[in-house]
Amino acid sequence: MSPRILAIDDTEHLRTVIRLTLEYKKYEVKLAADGVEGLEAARAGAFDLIICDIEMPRMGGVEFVTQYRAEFGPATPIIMLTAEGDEKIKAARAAGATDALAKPFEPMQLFAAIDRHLKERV
Amino acid sequence: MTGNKLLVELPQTADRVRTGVPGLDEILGGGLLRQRVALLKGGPGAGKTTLALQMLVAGATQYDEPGILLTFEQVPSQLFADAAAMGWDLKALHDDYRLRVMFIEPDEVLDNPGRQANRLLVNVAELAEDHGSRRLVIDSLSHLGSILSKDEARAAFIKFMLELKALGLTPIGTAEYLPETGIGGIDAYLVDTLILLERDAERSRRTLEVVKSRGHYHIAGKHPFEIGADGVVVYPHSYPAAAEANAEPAPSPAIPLSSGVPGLDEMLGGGYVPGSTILVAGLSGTFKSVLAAHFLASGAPSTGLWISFQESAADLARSFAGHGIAFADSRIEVFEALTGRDPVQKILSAADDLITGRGIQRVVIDSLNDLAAGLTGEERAEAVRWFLRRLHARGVTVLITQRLARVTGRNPLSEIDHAELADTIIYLGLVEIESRLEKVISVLKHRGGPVAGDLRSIHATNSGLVVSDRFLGVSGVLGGVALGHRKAQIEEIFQPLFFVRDFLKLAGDPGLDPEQRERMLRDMGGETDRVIGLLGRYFDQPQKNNEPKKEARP
Repeated sequence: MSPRILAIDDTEHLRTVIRLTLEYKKYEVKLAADGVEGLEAARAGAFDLIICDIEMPRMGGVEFVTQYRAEFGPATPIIMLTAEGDEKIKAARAAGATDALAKPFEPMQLFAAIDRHLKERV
Repeated sequence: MTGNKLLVELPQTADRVRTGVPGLDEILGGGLLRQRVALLKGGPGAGKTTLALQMLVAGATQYDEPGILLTFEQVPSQLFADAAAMGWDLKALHDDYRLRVMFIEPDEVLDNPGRQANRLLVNVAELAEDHGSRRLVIDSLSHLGSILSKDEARAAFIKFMLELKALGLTPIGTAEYLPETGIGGIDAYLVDTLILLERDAERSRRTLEVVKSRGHYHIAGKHPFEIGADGVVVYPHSYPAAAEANAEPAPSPAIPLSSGVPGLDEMLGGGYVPGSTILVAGLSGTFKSVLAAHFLASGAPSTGLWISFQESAADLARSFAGHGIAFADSRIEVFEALTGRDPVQKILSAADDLITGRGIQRVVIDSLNDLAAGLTGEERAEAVRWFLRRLHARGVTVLITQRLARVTGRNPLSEIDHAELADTIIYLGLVEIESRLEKVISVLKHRGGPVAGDLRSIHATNSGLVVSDRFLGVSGVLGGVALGHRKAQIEEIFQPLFFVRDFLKLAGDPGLDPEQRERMLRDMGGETDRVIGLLGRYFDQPQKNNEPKKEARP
């Protein structure tokens, strides 16, 4: 069974690129536009890995990670997508984010990060 | 005398004395009470005498109710000259016994106030009986003021007034308003209707208020009035419930009205809702007026009305010509309300007459700020609400511009006055991109349609405003989550490039399923188009069918 990945980003185009990228690896992808939608998706079904933007309206990445960890524990790796030099990445890591990638992301880098964390998880 | 079409026709009842003063009868619920005492109080120059005289002239000329003027103060030549300035031929009315003028002394009122003994009452009775006099003005009771403080004189005065009423007359007195005694004083409880006139010299504004109306309905509050060539005209600040004003708004046809700007129509899901109110709010110089002009122009060949407070028709025509909008060809009429002195009710009433008379369906008010000058927020809201109710009942669509004083912060709605009046709110703002200010447009509220809430760039061309696709590189600005614009732009352009670069490498894998390779090539093509589109817009290059694809490619 292919791994299930939840990708959360408020930019429509970035969600599309993430979907196209992950579909190449035949991951099962679920998209959400902000932290609120992300939590709803997580409550509706389990994921093997989560990719999450930091700056988003309604509920940003730091708050999402905090709430997600409180509800679902530390097991699922969360890769943050962040603009370079964003101070909030520290807060996201403190809240329980596993890794961070700079935006714009390079698909090869994303694949490498996903592979690494999925393996570590197993 | 000026008719006032906006006011409802009130039933002519026998127990009411129509004052004939435009606006006043509506405020009084039909007129003064017959055979009851009315008093007009006000400071010097407030308009008491003019108003009282107008009631007499109207009675004599419009309602077949001759009148009598008892005056302590003026010599005939001066009184007749003052009246002539209002177009009233007092001399002719006097000679005709339709308006008899009598110059009197205080003791003529107070001595032996029985109908047989008092000479003045004998004369008045003769007029009432022989010539049908029905109204009587005493100008002014202040002349009796100090005398009336004595019990005996006061009793005599009350008897005098009772006698007048018994003769079938409706007495109307004038009196100086003394701030130290307020509006009470000795005469307040002798009268049934007390009208206070005030003059605010600083704001060049006159108001009238019914502060007492024993046993009859009236519209409370201070109503602006003017003294013009036709005498006094009162502008009630709110209006009795006319059937039309209370009617349900006309059902909106399903077809939206074009804003005149295709990109904005797209943001609005087709356009404005017919019969709705649109508020266009923004800083100075963000195309508020041009957007409004597009709306009127797109209604051609139907006539649109522009209510202007600052610019003349010629100025507007000149400034919009540069945007490809020809006022004359577009059948836009300009209602100039430039003086800034007219009460807002007068302006809106006159505009309403024009709109009704001409069957106009599109109206622009430019701007809410100017309309508000000299009014409190609540007065303004009330006046605008009244106006909108009337127009909406006839299916008229109204666009109101509003100047914002500063760049809005997290929530532009908080900067916008009277947002509750609008069905659709459009925000025009400025965003700094790489040290350059870009004009942006966003729909903050839209009745009858979804609001995308996104921010788009808006710019002027010589054939009108153009709203572009989603604003390049800027998201969340209105929501307060503004990303670094430059970073966002880099991300928007580089992300598809990174995708294409990496996927080119992957597509070279000889073991790849041909179907997957084909899909990857299609996706790379889509992303390449996207970059071309973004760069083309950024560098103002014409697009050659290379617009970035919408999302959700298969």
